[in-house]
Amino acid sequence: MISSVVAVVARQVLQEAGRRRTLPVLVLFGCGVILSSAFLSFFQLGVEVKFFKDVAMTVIFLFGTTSTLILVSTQLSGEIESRTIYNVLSKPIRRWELVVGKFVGAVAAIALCVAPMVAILAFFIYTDRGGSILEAVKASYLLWLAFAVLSAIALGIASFSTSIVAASLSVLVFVVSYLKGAVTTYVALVSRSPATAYLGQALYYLLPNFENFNVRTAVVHDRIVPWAYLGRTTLYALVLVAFFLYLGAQIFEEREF
Amino acid sequence: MTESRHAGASAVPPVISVNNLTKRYRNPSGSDRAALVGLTLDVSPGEIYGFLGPNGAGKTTTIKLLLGLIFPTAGSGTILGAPLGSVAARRRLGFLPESPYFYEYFRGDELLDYYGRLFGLTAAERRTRVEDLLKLVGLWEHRRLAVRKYSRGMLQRLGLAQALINDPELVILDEPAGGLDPIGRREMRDILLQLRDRGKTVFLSSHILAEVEMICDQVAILHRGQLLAVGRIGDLLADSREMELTVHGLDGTLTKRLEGIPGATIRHGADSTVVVLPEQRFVYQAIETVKQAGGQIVSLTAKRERLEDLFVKLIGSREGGTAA
Repeated sequence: MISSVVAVVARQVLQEAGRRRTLPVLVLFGCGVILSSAFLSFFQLGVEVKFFKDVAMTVIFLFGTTSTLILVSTQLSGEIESRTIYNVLSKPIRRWELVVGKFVGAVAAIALCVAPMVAILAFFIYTDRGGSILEAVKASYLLWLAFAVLSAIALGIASFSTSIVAASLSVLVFVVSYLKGAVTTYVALVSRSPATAYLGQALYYLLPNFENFNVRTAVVHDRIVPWAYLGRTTLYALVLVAFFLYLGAQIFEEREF
Repeated sequence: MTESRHAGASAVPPVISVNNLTKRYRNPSGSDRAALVGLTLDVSPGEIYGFLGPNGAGKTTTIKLLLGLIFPTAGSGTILGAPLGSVAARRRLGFLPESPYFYEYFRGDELLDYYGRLFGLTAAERRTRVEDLLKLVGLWEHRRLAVRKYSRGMLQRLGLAQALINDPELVILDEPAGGLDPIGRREMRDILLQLRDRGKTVFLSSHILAEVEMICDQVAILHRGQLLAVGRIGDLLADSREMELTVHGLDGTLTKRLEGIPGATIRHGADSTVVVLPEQRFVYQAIETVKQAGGQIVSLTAKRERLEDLFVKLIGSREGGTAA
C-alpha cells in the first residue's frame, strides 16, 4: 500500500504538472497533430488507416517521452536548485518516500497527458478507421510502461545531478537503450580491441531494452499483441523501475543539502 | 567559552541536546574545512534560545545538522528525545529556513495545506490551522494569491506560518526577521513571545542582536564553527559601573571642567553631549558642574553592556582585536 506521505507528494507533482503550462500545451499540441493526421489520412487512398494509426502512435511516443523528460528531470534536482527541499525535508518525510512520491506523481501525470491522445486514436478507430481499439490501448499501455521506466531512470540520475544533467543523461540512456542492438553490433564490427567489444556487450545487458515496449508496428498492421507478452513486459518494467528507484533512493539518502 | 554547559543541571530533559557535534567539508584540493567543531549545548524547554554568530560561523550548518539535511562528521545529539534528523523529531518541530523558497504555483492557503498533509493532519485540522495561521501572520487577505506574487516580507510571513502548521513543540528559525519591515519584525517578535508563553521552545538564529537581546532567554555565540559563549543574557552581560550623563548647552569652559573629572570621557553629538563617568561617585560632581555653568541635564543613565558589545568583544578577541 502506498504510504500517505507518498500519496501527498504524488498529488503535489500532479498539481505542478497541471499548473506549469508546458505539459498541458504539449498535450494540446499532440492532440492537434493526431486530429490533423486523422483528416489528412483521408487523402492517402488505401493506406489511410495505417497512416493514421502510425502517426498517432508516433505522436504518443514522442510527446509522452518529451513530457516525461520535462516533468521528471526537474523533480528532485529542481527541488534542490529552487531550495524548496529544505522545507520539504524538514517535515516528517523519509527521503525514499519523496523519491517514490515523485515517481508515482510523474507516472500518473504522464498517464493523464497520454490519455487524451489515446482517446482520440480510439475514437477514430471506433468510428470509421477500422482496427482494434483494444490493441491500440495495449500498445499505448506498453508505451506508458516505457515512460515509467524512463521516469525511474531520470529520477535515479536526478538524485545526484542537476536538472539539465538529468535531462541530458536520460535522453542519452533512452536513445542508446532503444538503439542498443545496432550500437553493440556496430561496436563489435568496428572494434579491434576485445575490451571495447566486452564493453559493448556489458552495455547491451545493462541497459533496459526499450524495444520490448514498442509494438507500434503490430498495431499499425492489425496484429494482436498477446496477453502473455503484455504480462511479461509489465514484469520487466516493474523490475527496471524497482531497480532504478532503489538506486536513486539510496543515492538521495546519502546526499547533503 | 564564557560558561560551561548550561542546562546540564536541569531536571527537565533538554529539547535539543548536542554533544561534540562536528562537521568538516572536503575542499577540492583535498584539504578539510571545519564548518563546526565540537559543538556541545542543551536547549531547555519553554525558552527562546538565541544562536548568534557572524557570517560563516556555522549557524546554518548547525541547523542543517539538527534537521538531518546534512550529516555530522563526528558527535551526536537528540531533538525532543529522538535522534537528530529523525522522522520522529521532525514530526514535532517546525522550521523556517533563511530566505524561504516555496512551490510558486501554489496559492498561500494551498501551500500550507500541502505541508499540513505531510504532517498527516486531517482535512478539518488543516482547514482550521491554515485559517488561524494565515490570520496570525497577516496573510489571510492574500490567501488566494499565487506564492510567486508574494513579496519578500510576505514570503517570510508565509514561512513562519508553515513552520507552525503542526503546532510544533520546537520551532527552529533561521534569520526570521530577514526581509521584514519594522512592523513585521515587531509582529514576529510578538509571535515568538506568544509561542514561549504557550510553552513552546524557540531556537532562533539571528544577526539582529537588539532583537535577540529583547526576547531571548539564553544565547550561544558561535565563531568559525566554535562556541565562544553560552548562557543567560543577564549572566553574560557584565554590569558596568559607568554612568552616562547627557547634557545640553555645553560650552568650551564647561567641557574643560567636566574633562577635569578623573576618567570622564566626552562625546559631542549634534544636539547634546554625552559625558561618560567612570564611577557613580563622580555623578554629583558632574551635575553640580553643569548646573553652575548654566548647562541643562537631559538624562542620567547607568551604562549597561549590550549584547552587541559582548558579541564584538568576543569576536574581536578571537580575531586579534580587529573587530573590537
